[in-house]
Amino acid sequence: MKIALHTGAKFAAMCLALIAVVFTVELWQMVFWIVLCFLLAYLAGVFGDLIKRLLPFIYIVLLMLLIHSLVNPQNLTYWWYFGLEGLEYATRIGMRLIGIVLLANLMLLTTSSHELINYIGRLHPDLGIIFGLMLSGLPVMRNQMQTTLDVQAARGLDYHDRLLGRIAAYIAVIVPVIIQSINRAYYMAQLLYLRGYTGQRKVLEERWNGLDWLLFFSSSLLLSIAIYWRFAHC
Amino acid sequence: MKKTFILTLIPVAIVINIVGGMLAGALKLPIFLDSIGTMLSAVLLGPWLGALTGLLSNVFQGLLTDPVSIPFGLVNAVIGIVVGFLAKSRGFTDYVTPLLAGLILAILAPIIGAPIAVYLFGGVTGGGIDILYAMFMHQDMGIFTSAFLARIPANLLDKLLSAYLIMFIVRKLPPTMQGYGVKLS
Amino acid sequence: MKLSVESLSFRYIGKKEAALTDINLEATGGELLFLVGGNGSGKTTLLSCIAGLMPDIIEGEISGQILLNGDKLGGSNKSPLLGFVLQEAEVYLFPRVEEEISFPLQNSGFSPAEIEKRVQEIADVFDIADLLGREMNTLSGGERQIVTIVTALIKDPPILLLDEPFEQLDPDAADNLLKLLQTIADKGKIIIIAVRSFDYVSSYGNRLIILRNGKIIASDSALATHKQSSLVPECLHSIALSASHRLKRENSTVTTGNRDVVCTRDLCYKYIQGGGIQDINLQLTPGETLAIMGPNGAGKTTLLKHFIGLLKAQKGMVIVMGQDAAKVPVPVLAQNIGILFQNPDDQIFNERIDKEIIWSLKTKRHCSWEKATAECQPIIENLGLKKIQKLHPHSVSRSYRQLIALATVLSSQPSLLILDEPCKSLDATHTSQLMSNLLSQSCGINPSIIMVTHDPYLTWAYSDRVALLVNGRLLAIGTPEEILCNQELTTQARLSKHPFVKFLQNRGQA
Repeated sequence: MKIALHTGAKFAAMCLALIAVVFTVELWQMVFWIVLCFLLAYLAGVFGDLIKRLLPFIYIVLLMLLIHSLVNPQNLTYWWYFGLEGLEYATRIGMRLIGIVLLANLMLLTTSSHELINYIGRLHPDLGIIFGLMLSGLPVMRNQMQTTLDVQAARGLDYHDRLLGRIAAYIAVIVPVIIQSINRAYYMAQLLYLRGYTGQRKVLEERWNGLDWLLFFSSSLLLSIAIYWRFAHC
Repeated sequence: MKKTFILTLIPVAIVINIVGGMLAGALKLPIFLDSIGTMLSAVLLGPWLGALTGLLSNVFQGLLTDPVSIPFGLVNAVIGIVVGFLAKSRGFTDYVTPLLAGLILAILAPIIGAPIAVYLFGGVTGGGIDILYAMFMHQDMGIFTSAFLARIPANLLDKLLSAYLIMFIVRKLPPTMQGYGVKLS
Repeated sequence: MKLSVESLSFRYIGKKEAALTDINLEATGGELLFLVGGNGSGKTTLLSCIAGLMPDIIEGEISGQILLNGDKLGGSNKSPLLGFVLQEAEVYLFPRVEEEISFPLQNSGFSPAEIEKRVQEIADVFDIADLLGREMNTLSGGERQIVTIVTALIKDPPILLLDEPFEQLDPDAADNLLKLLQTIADKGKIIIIAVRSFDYVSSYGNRLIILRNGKIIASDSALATHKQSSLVPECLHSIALSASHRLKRENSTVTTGNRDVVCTRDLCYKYIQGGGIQDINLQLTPGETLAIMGPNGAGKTTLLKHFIGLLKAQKGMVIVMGQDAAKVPVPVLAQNIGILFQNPDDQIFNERIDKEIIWSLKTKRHCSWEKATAECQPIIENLGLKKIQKLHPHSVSRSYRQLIALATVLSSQPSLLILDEPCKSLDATHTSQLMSNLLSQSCGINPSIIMVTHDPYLTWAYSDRVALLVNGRLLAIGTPEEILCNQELTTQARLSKHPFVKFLQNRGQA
């Protein structure tokens, strides 16, 4: 079964959930958010991709645990070489980081770039144009860079030179790329005009369906729980 | 400058940020060079649009690959503002302006970047800077101070080199593309 | 329906001379109109004016007026009525084909359902329904051209303007496009096509207008082409050109040694995403000029890249001047090879013309700047760049930049020259200037030449042998006469519908 959620609803829900995560301080509550994220990712079929995006942050979190337990200036009580205060500090920040990474990527992995262009364009037409042009320009300019790398190599430029030589090579490659891309911007401006873009694009309302509202209310509920956790026991 | 041209130049500058960083990686340069486009946009369009370019660069790249890098768009925006104002007041083709830009940014970028990094990553980057960071904390310097100080040397190198590279690039651009880069006498 | 341009003049901002002076023309519905002119004649400027880009998007001083059925185009009526296909067909706005085509409709506030319906309809008409879900950057040049034209037509404009639409296409695809445009015109639209040669004008089109230096110098029915062509040598028809000269090097058959300059053995290279070359066996003897022709995507550029080591053979071998090209680093191999690429803007990065040429020699030879400067002086003088050598390369026209690129290639006196579409976007005058410069400057060293081109005339006039590359395989190799006059071969290589090839084959039969 394919569940069609609107980008706006997902974005709103993500923002509410992010606030909830930022508010949370207790560790077991953090674990609750993270498990929830994994569950949602599994249901949405993006579990593997999410893990892939999470891995580099796991490395940072481990490093964080190590550094802060060893040298955090607030460390007072030690277990062997490791300061417990730093360890707690790093654990809290690490969990929060993982929560943020999971939530943001969960939203992005379930949203196609096409939907993103549309959604951003709904926030402001110009922003949608900028995002769309960036997406279409990236492969073009990567090809341009490869072409210029090839062409300058054929003119005898050596990319395995000493550092100064490589910096000079950087200029020899980036300048044609920049000039060509500024020219491209010039022609894209003509195209925008020719295709009738005036900046006053009619905004198409996003009609939320029952599922969208369900998502919105459940994330509001989660945020209320987080606020309750934070302030009820103080 | 025409609004439609500004509208197409900003995404192009964002892509130059990405491609510039990729090229630095391909040539194994010791610096990131991932804000060339922001600087260029600031030279061409002035400080505020340069700042917008920097901000959007992080936001949109973040949406594609790594959303956690979005908050660092503030740093990128400041790069746009500093380079834009310097270019507007002195051009960007002499040897002094890049020096000023590099020095100012070597301080300003960590001032904004360090608190964000501390909040999100506990100040850890996963790179060589972390050794410096740990050393400062070991001297009982406090987390924020350590994170700030640890970032200065790398930033100094990166921003100075980037600024001088931009100067050489602006010098080589056709006159119609130099924007504020050339001081009209 | 009637389009009329009345005493139109335009001057670009910062330029002293006008780009267009006192242009008057009229066109009625159903007409396919050719706008013929050489490089810098003002074709693009005129089309841009009609499309309403001046002065809102392109800054400058415009006077005169452009009327459609008596109403002024542009001005207060902001939404553009025209379809305009830019010369830069590789420029587009959005990542996906569907987004690109539907964008004009979104701007006019159509509902999503209506947009989808309209896009489907036009996609069926132009037979591109299978492209809608594709990414723009995966399209071939021909497919992208069609998408661009469909995007220009989606709002059913009364007028369609096309600037050099055949540049990206092989001859048969160009012919197909012309047929398509003819049917669009027949439905009552005005179509104006800017071209720089008379080649396609004689077989299609109702009328032509000749531009030079921003002025209309003649306007006539297309059938009178051959008479007109003597007026504008820069746009000469290939047939007329071929009658006047055939500029082969006189000593081209002299072989100074027995060893082949380039030799490939069972060369294979496959891309993961498909395409590539297979079982290529060819030899290039010293002093020979070999042309490589074939449809888009046949693997011509892939083959070229092996000669300079940018690609390494997956199977088989490439021997260049006695060295295995896969084993020598590119910069070392480059010392004796000169490559002229199709777009000079891919390489020019210095702020002065002479510096660009000197940098090239210095980089190749690893010599001092002073020594390179001294050695480059003759080539700068001989190519007529002396007067402009201190200018920024981007402040001169593109044909000059191609000449600059040629100078950087010739400065190191290479014994092998590789030309990739050397005359793309150059008119007849600039083409013959470039080619004769190339041949006269290199005579002393008499290099071997490999030239990739779509242009049968260029092949016929300048090469000793032609290799046909189709679907990654070497289809045939022989003298230009053997290849171009062979109907079966030219059909397979998608060349047969080029007017010049037709002419050669008809002459052969007669």
